[in-house]
Amino acid sequence: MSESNIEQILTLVSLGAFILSGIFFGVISAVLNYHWTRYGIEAVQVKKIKRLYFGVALALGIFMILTLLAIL
Amino acid sequence: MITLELAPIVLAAVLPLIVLIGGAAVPIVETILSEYAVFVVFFLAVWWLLLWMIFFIIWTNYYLDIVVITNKRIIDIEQLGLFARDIVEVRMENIEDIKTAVIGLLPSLLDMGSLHIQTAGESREVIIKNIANPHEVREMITKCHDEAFGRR
Repeated sequence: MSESNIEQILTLVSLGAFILSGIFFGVISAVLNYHWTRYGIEAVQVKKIKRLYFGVALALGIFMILTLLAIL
Repeated sequence: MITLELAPIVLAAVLPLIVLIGGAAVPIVETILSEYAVFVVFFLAVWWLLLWMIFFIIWTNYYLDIVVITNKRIIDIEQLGLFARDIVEVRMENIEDIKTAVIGLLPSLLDMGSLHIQTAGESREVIIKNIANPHEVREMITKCHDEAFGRR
């Protein structure tokens, strides 16, 4: 297998992984957010947790997009 | 106990970094890594995002396990995964006996254990697993029970 073939496959896999992880993140985050909002008992703590979860996820998401752009 | 459940996630997040740093010392691996560096970084970010979600799924499962003790009843809410929730309610007047069980070295050190509540209801025993300070909780329930119905 040539080097360009490997790169093409890796690019496709990266794109697929990005789309799948995006869908998975959307579903899981919606479910988690629902649970925290509906059943969480300390509003202040829940707010902090939401900020931490979505903040780090956003940073990772931006990082993923930037590297994906570099790949493409 | 939540620490033990989350430890593999932390390990899984750190392990790729250790492998990459270790691999960089080997010339062939170093060549491959530098050639596909952008892919490695991308998949590392995907991996970390996945672990970040799993971390919070486990944490939420722990966080939403709640025991509410009032002078009238005990409500044990147990989150079983993301889509199942078990709620057990025991009325104070139905409590017959309370037992705590702290078994093992780690639970003893961390003061974790289970609370066994014998009731006069249909399901004879309610077990609240993995709670912090079980003896303190038992004393609290006994106090509430005594205040509500007097010492027997």
